[in-house]
Amino acid sequence: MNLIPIVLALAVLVFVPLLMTLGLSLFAYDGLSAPQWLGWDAYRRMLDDAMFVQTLRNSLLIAALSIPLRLALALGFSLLLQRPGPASRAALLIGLLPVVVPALAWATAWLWLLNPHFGPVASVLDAWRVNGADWLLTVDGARSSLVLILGLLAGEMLLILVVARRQIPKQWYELASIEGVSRFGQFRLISLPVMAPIIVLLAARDFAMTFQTSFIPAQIVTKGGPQFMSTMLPQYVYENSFEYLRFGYAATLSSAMLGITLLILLPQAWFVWRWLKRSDSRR
Amino acid sequence: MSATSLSLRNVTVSLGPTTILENFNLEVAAGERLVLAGPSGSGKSTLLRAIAGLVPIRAGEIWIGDRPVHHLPPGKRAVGMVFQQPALLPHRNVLDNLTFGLRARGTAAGEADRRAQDVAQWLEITPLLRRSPRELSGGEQQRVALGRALLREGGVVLLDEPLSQLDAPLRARLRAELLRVHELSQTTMVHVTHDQQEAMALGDRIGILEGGKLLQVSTPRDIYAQPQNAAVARFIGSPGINLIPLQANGSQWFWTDRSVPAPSAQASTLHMGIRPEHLKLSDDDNAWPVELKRRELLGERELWHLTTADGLDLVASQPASSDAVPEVLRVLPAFEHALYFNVADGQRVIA
Repeated sequence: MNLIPIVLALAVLVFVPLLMTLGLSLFAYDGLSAPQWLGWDAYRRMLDDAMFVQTLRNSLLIAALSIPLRLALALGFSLLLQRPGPASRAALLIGLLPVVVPALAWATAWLWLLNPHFGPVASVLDAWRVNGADWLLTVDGARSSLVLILGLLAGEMLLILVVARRQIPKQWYELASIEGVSRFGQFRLISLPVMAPIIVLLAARDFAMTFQTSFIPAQIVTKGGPQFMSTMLPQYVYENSFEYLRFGYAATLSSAMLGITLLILLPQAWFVWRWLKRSDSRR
Repeated sequence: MSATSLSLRNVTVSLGPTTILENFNLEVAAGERLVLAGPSGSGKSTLLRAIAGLVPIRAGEIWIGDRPVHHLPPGKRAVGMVFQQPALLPHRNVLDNLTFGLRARGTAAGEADRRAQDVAQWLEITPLLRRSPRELSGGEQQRVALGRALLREGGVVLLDEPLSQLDAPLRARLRAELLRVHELSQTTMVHVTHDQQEAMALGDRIGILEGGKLLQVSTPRDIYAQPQNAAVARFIGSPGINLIPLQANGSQWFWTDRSVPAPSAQASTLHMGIRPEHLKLSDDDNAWPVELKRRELLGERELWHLTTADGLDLVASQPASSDAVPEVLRVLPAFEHALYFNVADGQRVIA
């Protein structure tokens, strides 16, 4: 069958490394000497590692702030851009740009925007009598910069929500307006419930991806500082494997990351599954 | 439920650069069922949307009862509307779909449910109240949509081709239901359709629209027998009326070389309108020779599609029979039922 190459590729590129990582997570391994069996002790040590707890908390905090920000931006603008036309196309293009440029370029652009000496953000903050040059050196400053950088990656979500919004029949809104339902009421009664499954799906996807998407901006813009207060869990994994050569521990952390992701996705998957089942029985 | 009158005074509606309705006037009495009929593009849907406030009017006034409403947003006009598509909210059950308007306007939940249940009883959809719209048939969905519109207190119900998406038997049933529900609710209804049969069946009065103009407003019987305009005569009646061109010769009117007793008019040409049932087979020497192209059996009656020597197509409606077609076929209009129209403006010419 023609599926065989795909299955093979999946096996080689995904499942084999996954199983190897899960296996390696139970060992101590520096890439030079033979792996040493630790078993569940590896995970016990991880839980005792203050750096693991701190970076996980950082990651979850940034995700919990940036993903809702991204959703709110995408949802808000999707309602504004529901009418097709040149203005909406231009706005969509601007929104999409940060998503389609390489993450490295996006992060580097922010490095310039946030530059303490000549970056525009610093001068604006200075004008507000906040010390702009120190911005990235404060915990809140570094974290809110990351939230902003990640939150503004809303273009693709926006595109999906614009399409979803345009699919809702105009007559529903006309009827609601005839019945005296306010604009906000129409959003609550029609737009939000109809788009909800898509919003949840997008949120679930972004939570699943958050450990990947947060890596580059944190590495480039804040370097995890100050005092590891904006170090993301994937950065800690990276440091462990390629700087400290603790491949075993990096695998333990990766496996934990996978488990946490699954844990976050579980309720969302349940929601999507229920929604699919309901739309199935309607036919 | 108290009924309200509706009045349009010199209403002009434009969509972009196109003027759809100009100086449009219409009076609908409280509790009346007015059907506006016309071909697509006649402006009838735009008219309803203007009454509802979904399109702005450029000039004129719209009154509902003793209130001018043309400056009000749709939600404050006290109109209920039924579209071609039922447009029920898919994530709400039938009861919620009936009551969401009442609730939005501040009616308490218990009161809204009670009123919805009354209307549901009229429409015989009580067993469906807890169901999802997706589980309903097209006819049931449209009844829910009608119920929602009827719950608009003290207003006018606007129906925009509400039956056109349904199949023929269901359409016939829902027509009967509409009449029954109108009787029960006594609301004022303005119903728009392109289907002349629906108009005839449902209207206390019928208004015929063409090109944004109201050609005639009258009872169905009157519209059929006494159309004021060739377009009205053509639109109402199925199959359509035969329009036969006449030429003046002195004070006499002729179709080819046949004399026709048309009234005198300030014109050299006229159209004579003859309904298919008034075009009879005849042995008379004065009868017009025709050729039979096609017979169409309708059941009790059949239509004979005829053509004359100079290529004029005519339709005659006959009692169905299996008799052989006579070799020389002649027809004669029943002139006492003939209608005459000006060729230029289509206006009826009366003796």
